[in-house]
Amino acid sequence: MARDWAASARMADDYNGSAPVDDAARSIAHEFRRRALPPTSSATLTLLTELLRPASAIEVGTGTGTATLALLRGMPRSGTLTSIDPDGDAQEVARELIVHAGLAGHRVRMITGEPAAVLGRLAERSYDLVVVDAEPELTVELVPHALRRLEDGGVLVVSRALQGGDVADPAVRTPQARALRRMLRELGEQSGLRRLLLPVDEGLLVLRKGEGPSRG
Amino acid sequence: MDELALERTLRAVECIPAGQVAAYGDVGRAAGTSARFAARVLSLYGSTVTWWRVPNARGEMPPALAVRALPHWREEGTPLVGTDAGTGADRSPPRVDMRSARVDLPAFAASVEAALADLPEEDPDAP
Repeated sequence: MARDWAASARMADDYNGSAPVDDAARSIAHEFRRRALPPTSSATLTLLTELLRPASAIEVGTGTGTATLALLRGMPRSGTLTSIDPDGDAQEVARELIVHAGLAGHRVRMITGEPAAVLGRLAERSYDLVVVDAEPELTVELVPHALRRLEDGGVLVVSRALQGGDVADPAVRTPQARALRRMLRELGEQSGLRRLLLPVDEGLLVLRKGEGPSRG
Repeated sequence: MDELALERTLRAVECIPAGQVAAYGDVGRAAGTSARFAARVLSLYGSTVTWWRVPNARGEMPPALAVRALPHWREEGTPLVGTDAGTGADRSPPRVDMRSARVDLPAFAASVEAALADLPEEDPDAP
């Protein structure tokens, strides 16, 4: 099973493909000691965004722009993306890659600052899509903030929700894995949320605000 | 529209604490623009910021917006004028009590300055 899964993931990455500008964003991410979004996660984000057609979206964790590019490809031209990161130099790289990718026509608000503080200043119930890509401790802190920014029907995507296999492996007792397990459990008990956990790359958690259609 | 001035304005709006308001002129001054520019930014891009915290200098909003602002004002405990403010459709729209709800201007200016710290002084790529 484990071997088949790794081969399938590789095949999916190849099949889903990756634009040269995305490859550039990923290789520069290494220089900034940042983890870039892998190709299949990128493709998932683009398709989700295309389906959702957000007028306003937030990205927490610009990095060198891998996810920024994925989001902008899916967003309507009239949409605004607010992208937050504490590292202004990495954001400069992202800005340049956005131009290279031919996506400069979109409105992007780059905000350099601590994610929790910046997110806290943004208006509540005003966004259609929020994407959080952060270290586990920060992710756990940011998710409630992120959910409050969403309108009814809005979607939150949490990347690295499974930390590779760490979260699913009960033998891993690191504080990070435990924090993410607790977060997943608490979100599972929360009403007014629809959940989809995808074992793609390091794990993508998709949450949609609102009760949705009844199952009766 | 000047992208940098636009961003400065949006960030200034985001610095107004819940339950308080800043007039267009207050926002314009803090952002280094003008009341007129702030009003234009809010009408075009206000939907994703806390627009209900920016009335005019008398605490008023256009009637259609005041109706939508009222739930936000109530939720945040923003001081309003008139005890029956906004309770009936035939009454004049509610407005904010500027004397008690207006931001402390020096503190507001300081928090806006901090929020603008990462922005360049002038936009070198401005067309």
